[in-house]
Amino acid sequence: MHSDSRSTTSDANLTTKSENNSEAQPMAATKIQPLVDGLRRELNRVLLGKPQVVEYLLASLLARGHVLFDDLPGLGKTTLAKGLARSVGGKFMRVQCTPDLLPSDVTGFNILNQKTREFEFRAGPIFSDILLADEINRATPRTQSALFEAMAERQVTIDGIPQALSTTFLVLATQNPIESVGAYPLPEAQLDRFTMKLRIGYPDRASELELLARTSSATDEVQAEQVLGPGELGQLQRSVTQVAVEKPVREYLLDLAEATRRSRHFPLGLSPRGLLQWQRVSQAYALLQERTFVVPEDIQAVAIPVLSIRLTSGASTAEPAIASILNEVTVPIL
Amino acid sequence: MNALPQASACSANHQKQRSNLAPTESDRRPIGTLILALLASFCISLLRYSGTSDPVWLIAEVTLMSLISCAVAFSYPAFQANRNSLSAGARSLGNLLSARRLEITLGIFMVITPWVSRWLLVRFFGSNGEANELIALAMLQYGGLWQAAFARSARQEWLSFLISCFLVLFGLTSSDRSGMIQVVIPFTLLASWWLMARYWEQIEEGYLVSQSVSVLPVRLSMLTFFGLIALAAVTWGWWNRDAANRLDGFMPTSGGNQQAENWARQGVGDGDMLIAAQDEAFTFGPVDSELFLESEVPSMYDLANDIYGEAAPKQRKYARAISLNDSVQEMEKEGTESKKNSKEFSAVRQPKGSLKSFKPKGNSSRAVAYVIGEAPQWLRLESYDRLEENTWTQSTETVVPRASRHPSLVMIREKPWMEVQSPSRDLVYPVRDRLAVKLINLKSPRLLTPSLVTHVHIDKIDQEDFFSWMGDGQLMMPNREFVPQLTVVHQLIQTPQLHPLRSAKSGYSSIAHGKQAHQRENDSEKVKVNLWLGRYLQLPDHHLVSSNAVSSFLAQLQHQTPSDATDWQRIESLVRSLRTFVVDPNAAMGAIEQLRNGTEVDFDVVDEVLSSRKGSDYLIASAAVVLIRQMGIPARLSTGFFVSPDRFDRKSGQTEVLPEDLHTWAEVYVHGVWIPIEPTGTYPIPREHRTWQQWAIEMVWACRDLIRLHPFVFAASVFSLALLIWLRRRIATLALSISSLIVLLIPTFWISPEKRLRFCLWFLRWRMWFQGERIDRSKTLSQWLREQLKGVGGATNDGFIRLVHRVAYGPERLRCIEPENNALVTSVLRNVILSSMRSAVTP
Repeated sequence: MHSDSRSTTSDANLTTKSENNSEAQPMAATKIQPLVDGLRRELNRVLLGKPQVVEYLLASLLARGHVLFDDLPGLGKTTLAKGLARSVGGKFMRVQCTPDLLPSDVTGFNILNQKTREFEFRAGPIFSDILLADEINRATPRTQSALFEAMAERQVTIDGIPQALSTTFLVLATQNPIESVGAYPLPEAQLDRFTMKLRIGYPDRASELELLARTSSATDEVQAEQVLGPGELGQLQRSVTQVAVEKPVREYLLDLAEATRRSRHFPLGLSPRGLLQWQRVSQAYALLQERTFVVPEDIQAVAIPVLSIRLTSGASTAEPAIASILNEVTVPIL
Repeated sequence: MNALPQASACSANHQKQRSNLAPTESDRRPIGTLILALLASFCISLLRYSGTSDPVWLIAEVTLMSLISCAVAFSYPAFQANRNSLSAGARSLGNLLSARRLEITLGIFMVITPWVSRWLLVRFFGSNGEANELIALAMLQYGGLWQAAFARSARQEWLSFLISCFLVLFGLTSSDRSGMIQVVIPFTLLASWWLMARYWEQIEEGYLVSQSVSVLPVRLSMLTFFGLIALAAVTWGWWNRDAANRLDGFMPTSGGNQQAENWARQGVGDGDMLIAAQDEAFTFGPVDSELFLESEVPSMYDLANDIYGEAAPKQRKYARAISLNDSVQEMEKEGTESKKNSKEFSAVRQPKGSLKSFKPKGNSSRAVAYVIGEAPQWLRLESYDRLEENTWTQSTETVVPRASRHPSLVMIREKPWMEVQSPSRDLVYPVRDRLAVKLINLKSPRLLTPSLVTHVHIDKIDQEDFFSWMGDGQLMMPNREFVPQLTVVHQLIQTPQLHPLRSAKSGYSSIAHGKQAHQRENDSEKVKVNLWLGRYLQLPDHHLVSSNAVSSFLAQLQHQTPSDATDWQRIESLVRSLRTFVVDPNAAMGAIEQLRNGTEVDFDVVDEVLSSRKGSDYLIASAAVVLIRQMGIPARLSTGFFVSPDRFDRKSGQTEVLPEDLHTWAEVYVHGVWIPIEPTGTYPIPREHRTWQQWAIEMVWACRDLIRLHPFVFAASVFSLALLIWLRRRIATLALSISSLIVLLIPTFWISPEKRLRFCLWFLRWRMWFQGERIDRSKTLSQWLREQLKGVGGATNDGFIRLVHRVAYGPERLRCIEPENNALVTSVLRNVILSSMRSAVTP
């Protein structure tokens, strides 16, 4: 059931994105690494003992993809989002989703200024660089869809006037898989707007010990330091597009996608839009590994977070099924 | 047959579920259908096997087709499923061989194979090929296999199933082979299981899914197709007017035209209706009608005179007397019979005249006989035991050992056979070969038989007294003047098993009877046997004291033979030596000239042959008999026909025996069996084993001897073989490493670092292969390399893997490796090769 219209839409999306971003030129290879290392260091300082999650988050950031955290409360989702916002030097906003949250609470609204007798636009939290949407599955579908329009188009339309969002606009949404009462589960089509689904999980003992030690004496949370200058995130994101994906690797990617379509574990296979995002995230991941080309391991590394958001048939079966697909498909070897 | 496009009744949702959750059409593996098709194919092959003249070709063809269909059935779905994960080359092949194209190509290939192979056989191998209706069946057979192999839909499986059922039914009704039943029983069981499975499938899926497949409307297409065929047939028949003629020769036995004549010439059934076997088919009536029994056919003696020339005139010192044993009254008649048939064969003959034509009236064939069965064969007609004054004669004494009793009647495969002798199992191979002799122009009551014939069968003759065992160990039909012409004599023969005779420890090492001949005279049976055997040990007066020529020849032979040789090995070395003699039909002419002139000469054929080292076949055979008798071993001279493989006629599947094939050879008596030997160099040595079973037995004997005689050699070779198998991986790896060292020695500017890197990967891959490992396909390049380079210096590995990544996945500009990395690549390659050498050598 892969309609052609969907794939063209996603193509169009990408084109728009890159056009919007045309002022950002790719960065010189020598400049990339210090910046990436700095981001990684800061995030790892904020979120202890989860280097792999940090790596995924960075890949998603560089691939201009939104992230859904599917995890229990209190594991550091907000901390990580705040740290990310600070380290990339953008504006951070947060929305706590509840059933009575209205779309205008997210996007903003026009208000009549009594003095000037004119409508003034009050920007909502969506006008930011990093938006944390907490417990997104508690918002009503109406509010959710307002948010999703913003995620896909990077613009909102308020009272008929389109308002462009930040070029590096990134949504980090969270949802709690346990408490399902009073929740509005996200439909599959909307889940597809996210690039990744991440689980943070409990930290290991050593990290938790260090966390305790660190916070016992300090009053404030650890604050990340700003790493990127203005416009540098756009340049980094542009550099990702320069990472080469050669033919054998592309073929491998396609083999994997076809395997998901053939697999009996998933009612729906991977859509072409999902495939494009997978490629982009792999490119970002390769860039994080200091490489200028994608190797099959990059694709494998990001497979689970990228696929698990798209191929969920039941919440728990996706990961072993994805792993089995990775095991079945032959890796191209020289 | 309702294949018209139907409206799809089910929702799209159902289809989706089917395509994703249920096994899809391409997952279908029609194992059951394939097994049924294979069984049916086997049935038809059995049918074809009994009629074919090229069994090996048939077996090869059927095996090939079965393998192809199995391979397709098992690998093609997997191939389709995995085509995306294949390498680029295999993928392009996969695109080329799209399912449809491969199916149709293979189908055409399989279906036309029987026809093409018949054309090949007829065109290039001079064979008959198979009959038309068998070719048609075979095409159907392979068509069924093809449908089973490619079955993607239930409809195809049904088609294959129906074809299989038809073939099995056809095979069952038109063959009486017992093997057929053994195939049909499992087929029936499987077929009922198959039907149940299909029924179950229908119940299970029928209401859930109904597919709409757009195909050509079957009724229309089939009707058009058959209509066109019928139209073409009618047109062609009209064109040729007598359409009935077209059906001639469609059955293999119909005869009467060019194409089926070969079939007719073979005779019908088991060949008993021999009228059809000679020329054109006139009748299938009984064979011994007077019409065909004309007396003008040449006798054996005419043949001998014509081939070898008339016997030279004899100078008798005294008249020969025939003594009859009065005490054996009952055998008197038979004795007279045998006297009548007792002839003499002169070893001194006049030069051969021009060959007469033996063409009798109304018979176009020159053949003495036709032989169906293996060639070469030595078919004996007469044998001679007494050599006096250069003339071989048959003793007339009726003293015969018990072994040569009257034949008894046994039933073999529901047909009466005369069991004429049952030789010792140690000396003959227990499996009997079959031979059929069609007598054409031979006028003799004796049957043409090989030495080791055990059973004789002539169709419609099932009376024991029809056969009699002559004193010279030859079968005859005593109450007739001659065996009717055109009779087919079926014979079972057993090939000699000479191995025990060559083994000093087998108990058969001594076959000499010289000393035993006069011992134990109290046992009358033994005395009889010894008296009888004594005839075959009797030396001519001239050789009672060894002449110079004989003794010098024997001394020379003694010199050549090892001291521990068995009697048989001594005979073999004697034969080897005689076979070096020049074969000259006109040898010993001078003496004959003198004899003809009536001059009294002291002439002896044996001395003459041995001193001149040349002679014709009867001279050399005479010499062989005398020399073997000198060793104390019973021997005799046999005359008859040599069935030469050169005369084998592939088309009729039989060997023609012409008057020119008249031949004389020698036979040695070994523990109750007369074993032919061939001392004339221009004729082949009689075979002693032929089938693979015999080879296997021979191997077992040889192994036993090896174990018994050279236990240490045997143990050492077994041990080293076991060691070789046990260490095969190490040995292979070592060989690979050593041969790879060459690449290291080639200077770097000769091979680019990139090529070196590729060679390193190639080496690692082959090393895995030699060690019996497989590359796990889910392993990435770096995982695999890390595993393989584990024992190799760790520091360089990461750099090397980075280089490999660049070459494998990097863009074009990064694939070329800089010269500064050359050392890295070379060092990894060196480490890999050396470490694998080390691991192969160290325990």
